[in-house]
Amino acid sequence: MMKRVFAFLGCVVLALGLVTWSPVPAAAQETYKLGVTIPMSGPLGIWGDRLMNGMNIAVEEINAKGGIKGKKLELVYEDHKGDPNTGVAAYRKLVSVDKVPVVITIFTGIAFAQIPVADETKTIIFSGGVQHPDFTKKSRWAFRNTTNANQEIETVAEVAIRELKKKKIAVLHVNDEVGRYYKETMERKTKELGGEIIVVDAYENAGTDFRSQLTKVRAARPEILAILGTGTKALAQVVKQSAELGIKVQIVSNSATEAADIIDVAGKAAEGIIYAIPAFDPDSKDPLVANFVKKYKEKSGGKIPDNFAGSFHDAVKILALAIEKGGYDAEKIRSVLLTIKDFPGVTGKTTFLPNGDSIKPITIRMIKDGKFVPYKG
Amino acid sequence: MVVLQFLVNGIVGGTIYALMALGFAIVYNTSKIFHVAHGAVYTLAGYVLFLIGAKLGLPLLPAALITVVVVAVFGGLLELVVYRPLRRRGAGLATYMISSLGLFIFLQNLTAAVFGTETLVIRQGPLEAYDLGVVTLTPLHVVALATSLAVFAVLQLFFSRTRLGKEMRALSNNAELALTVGINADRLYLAILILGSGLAALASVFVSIDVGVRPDTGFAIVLVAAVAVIVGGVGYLPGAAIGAFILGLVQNLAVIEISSAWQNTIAFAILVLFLLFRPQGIFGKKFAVRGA
Repeated sequence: MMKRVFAFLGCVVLALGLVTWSPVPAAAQETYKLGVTIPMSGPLGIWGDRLMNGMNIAVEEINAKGGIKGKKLELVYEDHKGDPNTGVAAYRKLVSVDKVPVVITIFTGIAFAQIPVADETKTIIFSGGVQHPDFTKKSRWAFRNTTNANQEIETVAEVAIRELKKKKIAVLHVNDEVGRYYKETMERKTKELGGEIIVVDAYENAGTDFRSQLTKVRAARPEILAILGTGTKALAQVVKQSAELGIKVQIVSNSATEAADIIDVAGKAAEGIIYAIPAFDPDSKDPLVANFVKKYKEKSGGKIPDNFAGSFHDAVKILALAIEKGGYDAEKIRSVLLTIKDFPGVTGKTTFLPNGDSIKPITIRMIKDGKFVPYKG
Repeated sequence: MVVLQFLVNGIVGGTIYALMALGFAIVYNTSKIFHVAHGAVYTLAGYVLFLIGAKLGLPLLPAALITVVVVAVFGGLLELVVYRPLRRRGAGLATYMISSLGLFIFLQNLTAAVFGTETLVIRQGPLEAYDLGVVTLTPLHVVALATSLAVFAVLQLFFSRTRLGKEMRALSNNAELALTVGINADRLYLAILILGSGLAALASVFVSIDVGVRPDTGFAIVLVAAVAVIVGGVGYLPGAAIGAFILGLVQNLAVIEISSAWQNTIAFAILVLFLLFRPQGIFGKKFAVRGA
């Protein structure tokens, strides 16, 4: 009897030992890890796959060429669900458990909550998607591989007023931190260019019915409707419901357009939307881009990558370069990042500014025949 | 004439609320169960429709009908599996409500776990809009309005002409007396849950086809339904429908002056006003005594 008990206890202890102690530390020494917090579920969940595909392609390419100084690169993913608290917990976990010097992240609300942790832990918070101008102002550890909102939203205003020669603008913006900043930027630039914003309302990313806001827009009889969003289906639903309310004015928008499932959800209501977006053209003949698009399609079952899949892909490449040149240490990576000029990526050439912002080309695109294509006058 | 479009939005919204509120009121008036899970039933209907309409690709009309039937049966199961055993053990009002809330949370998280938390869209692309000059309507809204009005009429007949309907009213007016004259309560409660859940499913079908389905939409609408029942006056069924229309109209008309972000706040502001100045609801004076 006692023998059996001991044998059983022995097995339990052995099992526990195997689970808790075995291969993890050994593996940790063989790879360079980068942390990633992105939404993989929740209202922003549609972002998860496209960002992961973009980044995983970069990792595979780097590792296929022998990794970084002989060590493989590895991304440790955490789902922040679009929730700041979860984002902070995920950031802490990555830094303390996985010991990463860099966390790649997205979404203003979450990134703003994570910045104090980056400061405290002296780790780099790097985004391919956060566009709020204050992001890089808040910390010396904050970097972004995307344009800031000023550039993008100002371009939207320029398209509306200079390019399309419309003056009376209706603005619908997403009701969050960056959405309100979009609205302010739009108001400032519109005034500067001699246009007029005649109605403003906000919509929720977690909402489904936007007829009240759109009825207001319709009543104001604008010449153009600017929808300034973050890429969720809500944006596509706003577009769809605007058509169902008989709103026929030209719609302009920002880079979120390509990330909103808009062609599936809004169908022909999305036709003709013109939007500003950091430069990325999946139809480009550039071999770098063509190769990326081909691999992305293989990974995603035929989907075409968007700008954000591209900017996160480039982000991983840029960070790998910084580790290669500087070492696996936040301070060293930081100093290399600040010297990067004209880095050739799938989203064009990137140069970092001393504040952690980057200069990247921005383009105007439109939806035509159910496709995202470059806008040509 | 902006007001007209908001009026139309309000009537369409009010119709949906009315279906929900009637379902809630039928359950609450008769059984005194504060049926919070009504909201989860509503959400579930959206996902059932998504499965058979969008995934299996059945045409929307049969898909909608099947959804209503399936979800009504599910409502019956709630009575059999949850409420009836509680009643047998002599549950009080608080027990019902907490159980219902638990059921709601369980079902909401179950749908979220199975289908994910982002909006699922049942129909792709925009519907054609009927542009009548000052007012625009989609065919879906017209169908929703017509169907709901027909349902209200049928319900009216059901409660005034059929034996089952009369028994439900009797149970609603004076449960003890109804039971002493030999009404079979178990059978009635089952019918009540089936009917109430069918109404929630119908509301959900229209909304889901219109704007898609999310796991977190049930709570807001069941609260609005509860507010509508209180505003209309507990115990009087048409009151719930009228309360719902008032809420739909006020919510939509208020948007003219107030940002649309405040729509749910408006519903609760109305509730507070009623609780302060007319707690028995609009039709409460005549009927509350009977219902109590």
